[in-house]
Order: sequence, then C-alpha cells, then structure tokens
Amino acid sequence: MTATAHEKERQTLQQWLTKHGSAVASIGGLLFCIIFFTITTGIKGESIWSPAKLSTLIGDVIVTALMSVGAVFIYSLGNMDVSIGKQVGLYSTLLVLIGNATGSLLAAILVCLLIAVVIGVINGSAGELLHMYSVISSVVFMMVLSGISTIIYSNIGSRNISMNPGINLTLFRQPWFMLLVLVAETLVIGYFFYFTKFGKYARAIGANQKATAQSGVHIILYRVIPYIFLACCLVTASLFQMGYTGAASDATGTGFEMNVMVSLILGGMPLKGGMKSRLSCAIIGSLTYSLLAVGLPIIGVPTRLTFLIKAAIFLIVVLITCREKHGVLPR
Amino acid sequence: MKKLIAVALILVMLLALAGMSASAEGKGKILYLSNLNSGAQYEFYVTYLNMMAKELGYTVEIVYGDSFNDPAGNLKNVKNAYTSDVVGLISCMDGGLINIMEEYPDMWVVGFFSDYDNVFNPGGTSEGILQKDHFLGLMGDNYISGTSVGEAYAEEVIARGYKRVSTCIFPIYAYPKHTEADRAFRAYIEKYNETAAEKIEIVGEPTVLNFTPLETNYFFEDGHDTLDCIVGFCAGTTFVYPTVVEAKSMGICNESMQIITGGFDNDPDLMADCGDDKNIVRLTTAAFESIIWPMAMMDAAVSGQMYKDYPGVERMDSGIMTINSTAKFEAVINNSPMGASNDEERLSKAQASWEDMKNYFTSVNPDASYKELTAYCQSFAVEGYMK
Repeated sequence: MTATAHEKERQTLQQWLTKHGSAVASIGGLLFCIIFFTITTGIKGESIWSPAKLSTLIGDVIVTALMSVGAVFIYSLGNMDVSIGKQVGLYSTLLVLIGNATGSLLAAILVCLLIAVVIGVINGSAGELLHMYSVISSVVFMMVLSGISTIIYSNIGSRNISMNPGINLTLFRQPWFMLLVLVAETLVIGYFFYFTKFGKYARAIGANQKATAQSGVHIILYRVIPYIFLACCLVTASLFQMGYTGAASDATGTGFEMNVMVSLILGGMPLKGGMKSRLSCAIIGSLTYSLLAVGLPIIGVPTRLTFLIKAAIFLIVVLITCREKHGVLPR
Repeated sequence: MKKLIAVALILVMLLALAGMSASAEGKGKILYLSNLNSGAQYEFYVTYLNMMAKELGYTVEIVYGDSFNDPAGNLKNVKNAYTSDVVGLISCMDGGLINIMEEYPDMWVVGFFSDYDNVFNPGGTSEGILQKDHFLGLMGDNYISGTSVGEAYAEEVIARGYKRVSTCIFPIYAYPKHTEADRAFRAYIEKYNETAAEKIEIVGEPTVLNFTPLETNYFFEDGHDTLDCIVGFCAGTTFVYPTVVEAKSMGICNESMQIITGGFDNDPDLMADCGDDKNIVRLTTAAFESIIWPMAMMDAAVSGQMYKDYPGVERMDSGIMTINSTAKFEAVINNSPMGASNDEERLSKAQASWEDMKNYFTSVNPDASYKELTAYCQSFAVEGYMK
C-alpha cells in the first residue's frame, strides 16, 4: 500500500470518527458498564444479571427510557421540555383518581392523553407563534401543573393517593411487559423518526430552521407533531410510574426532566439537535444510567459515592461529546 | 489525547471502586432509609448506627429516601441498594413502605424519626403494613401527637410572657400534625386567657407555608410588625428564621421578636443566634440517642430473640430534646454529638456508650425488656448533656 493510500485511509477513519464519535463513545460506555458490572458483580457473588437484579434494573430504567424515547423528537428539534416531570406527576395522579372513580384505567388514559396532546400542541407552537424559546412555554407549564397538583392534593388532604385494590396493576410490574412496551414504543417512534417526514423534518429544523422553512416545510406543524409523540410517550411512562407502586404523590415526577436530559446526553444526543440526533441515545443513555444506579451498590459502593460517580461520569461524557463553540444549549 | 485521558480516568475510578468495596459479613446488612443526607444529626445517626452494627455483627448501608417521600422514589432507592445479605430496613420514610415490604417480605422493617402518617392514619397508602408480621413499630420524631406539640409551645409562650404571637404551619395535606398542633396551641392559649390578667393575642390565622420560606411582606400585614413571637410548627430554622433576621435588619418588625420552633441545624451562625436573648428561644427535636430503639428492635427480630414483653406494633414518641435556654443551647453545642467534628468525638459525646446500652439488646442479654428499652430510649434529654 502506498503512502497516499495510507493517508486516505487515515483521513477516512478520522472523518468517520468525527461523524460517529459520540455514538462510539456512548455505545462504548454502555458496553464497558455491561462488561465491568458483569465481572465485578460476579466476583461479589451477586450477579447483576440474576433474575431479581435484572427485574430491579428493568424497573429502574423503564420510566426514564419511555420518556426519553419520546423526548428524542423534541431534542432533535434543538428544543427541550422541562415540564416532563410535572406532566408525569399530573397524569399519574389523574390515573389514580379517575381510575378509582370509574373502576377502569381506560377513561383515565384517554383523559390524560387529551390533556397531554393539548399541552403538547401549545408547547410546540408557542415558541414559533410568540417568537420565544420553546423552553419558556414548558417552564410556564411546569409552574401551572405544579400549582394544579398542589390544589388537587390540598383538596384530597393527603400527599399520597393509592389505587383501589380492585384495579389489577400487576401487569405494569412485570419485567417482560415493561420490556415489551419499551420495544414496541421504540419501534413505533423509530419508524416515525427515521422513515417518515415527521422525523426528517424535525431533525432538519434542529439543524437549520431557516433553510428548512425555505424548503417549504410548515415549521409550526412539524414542531407541534414531535410534541404530540412526546405526549403519548409521557402518558405511557405515567402508567408504569403509577403502576410501579399503585400510588401517586404530589412529588411524583419531580426531577424527571433532568433524568431524561442526563440519559440523552449519556447516550450521545447532541443538545442542539439536528441530523446527528439518534433514537438509540434514549435507550443507551437510560440503560447506562440505570446500570450505574443498580450496579454500584452491588459492588459495595456507598450510596453517597454513587451520586458522585454518576456526576463525574456525566461531566466527563459532556466534555467528550457536547463541547461546541456555539449553540450547545437547547432552545 | 484528552478524550483518551478522560476514558482512562473513568476506568481507573471504577476499578478502584470495585477494589475498595467491602463485602458484608456476620449477621447481614441493615439498610437505613434516611430522610436526611447531611448535617450534624445525619452524621451522628450514621456513626452511631455503624458503632452498634459493628458490636452486633451487622453492616449498615445508608439509602437516601426520596426527598419528597414519593412512594415510587423510595421503592426504587431501596431496590437499587438491596443485596441478598440485607436482613432489615430502618426506615425514616413511609412513602411506598407497603410496596417495599411486599417486594421483600422476609426483610424486617422498623420505623424511626418520622410520623408515619401513611401507615398509622386510617386510609394511609401504607396502612397495610400494620398487618405484616415483619413490621416492628415506630419511634417517631419527638412528639407523635400534634396536640402535645401545640400545648408544649403554648406553655413556652406563656412562660416567656409574650403577648402577641402568630403561627406558621406546613399544608394540612402534607403535615396534618401541624394543623392539629396549631388548634391545640390556640385552645391552650384561649383557656389561659380566661383567667389571665393580661391576655395573649394570637394574631390572625396560621400562615401556611407551601414549603417555601416566609415572605418578608408578611410583616407588612396587619399586626405582624408588632409581634413578640412567631411559633413555627414547620421547620422554622429553615422557613421562618432567615426572614425574621432579614425583617429585623430592614426594621420592619418588632426588634425583640423571637421564634419558637422545631428541628435542629448546626449551622454555626444560626446556633450563635439561639438563646434566651437571641432570635431563636426554643428548638424541639428528637433525642439523638433514641436511634438505639430501632437498632435494638431490628437485632431482636433478626436474631430470633424478640423481647418477651413485646406487645406488638406501636407508634411512640422518641426522647424529646427541649432546648429552651441559653445554658441548654450551649450544652448542645459544646457537649453533645451535634458539636462534634469527627466520629470519635461524636461517640464520646453521646449520652450512651455501647457499654451503657448493650444490656437492652436481646442478643446480648436474653432477659432484656421491651418496656425498659423503650423507657431508656425515651429518657434521653438535653439535661443529659448538662452534667
């Protein structure tokens, strides 16, 4: 092979790494966690892949993964939604209240879906119509939903409410069902994200909204549709969040928007959105995050240290994948 | 190159952690689901639990409860920390406790430093654990009864001669005990006023703080600028005290106004502002050494040597620290574990050493009595640091 050929090969590899660097880092991180915890928890005599721990792992990952899969659409726009946590909190509460009142989850799911879609439409369109960052409208919703939650629980007179034993929620605690729903949701969202114009336009808007608009794409419409996908994912996540304990509280969902953001960043999602956005970020990130949460205590790391380790890893991943000179933050 | 260094750092960190981790041995591991994650009280509980666990042959793992007591959050945190050698859970949180016990039916559970309204109040979400034989009961966070708190604070107001007072509480849906305490406080003062030469005025209805600090404009409301005292049934050191200090510096409230409240905070500036002539005149909190009770109950259950006179699940007061004079504040700061800077000092300043307490544990003394254990743990008071 000549020196020129070597140089070409090196350049091609460099280009490939530049293009897929964050994907390699995130998948590598996940693989490393899997190998590391397989070996170390095995040495400790309590494998992370034992049925009990696997069930804990799936239980830990499911809600964040379901939310993150939907949030990929929003992040690909270059937006973020900070009302995610409060939305899940409200839907969990409504699922319990309406479920108890009607004796069935169906009506509750429909009501939650309706509210979620309305919030999604407003969140998706407000930014463009009112010429402001989309995150602002989600901040407003976060506050409004927080107030509604306080009013609901004040009227109930308790911080926690639980589902009547008559409604069977065991299905939502089964690891196989959790996996099934996660796979199904990922396939559906993946189809829309990769194989339809909804996903393509969302990524295009994230990459360059002006150019996309000049190509004749209806910006408001294709900004709203991702939020509707997210709405459906949030209601699904709320079902599992509430079903996990059969209860909801005024604090349900608190901080979930941060869990989603951390998972997506760990998964290699570019915060400014665009064509490099990948659905796999949601799964890889939330799985890595949960592996750390479940694996570290097994190998004997004190709880206090696990927070530090997760924070340190998050910081390192951000430094590797998210350093940009301009426009790093979502809008 | 930088990326390679970063990845190498992760590798080194994780491998070091795997190497340093200790395996549990002896009688098994006890999880402590904590409602605190820092501060002098937290540090003492961790140190004291570890000391007792070491003497008894257990290990202790601290698990942080969901900061809002959310059922799913607590369940998830316990599940993540659970390993096959876990034998028991000392829980300072009651959210999701029923789910935790259903998930791990063989794990013993005992409550500490919380009111456990979700368990003991009718219709509570964790009410079902009262039917479970692996639940051992609760030693709460000072008084269980809101009425007792209200009456104790009313007595303090009368004793100190305040004439114009107001009250602050957390919302009833979150802390029903505060509303009960406020009612009892008002009833006690009203009864006192029937025979008093100079009556005490309670200005306005209780101010409900929705987990946010009292606002400065509180003192612009009718009658609040001339208050002698604010009674904070909520965590007044966090939610009332800073506003009072600010209001005084702005000159918008009575200069000699003082605070009666609960909880403990070892912030040096705050503690320096506690005493008869300072901003905080009374703090009420659980006696720190009362944590002997849940450990002794856990040990009895795990060892299969339950107290012969154990009557079944109870909810009871802890030892109560009523810190309401300059001398008492000084005793807590100087002589108690709250003023200690390291584990050794914490243990040496505690009111009970292992030698003092060991005969209350059935695995050490099979004839130990539940009644005596309970009375012992409730006997700790601030006076113990004044000897």
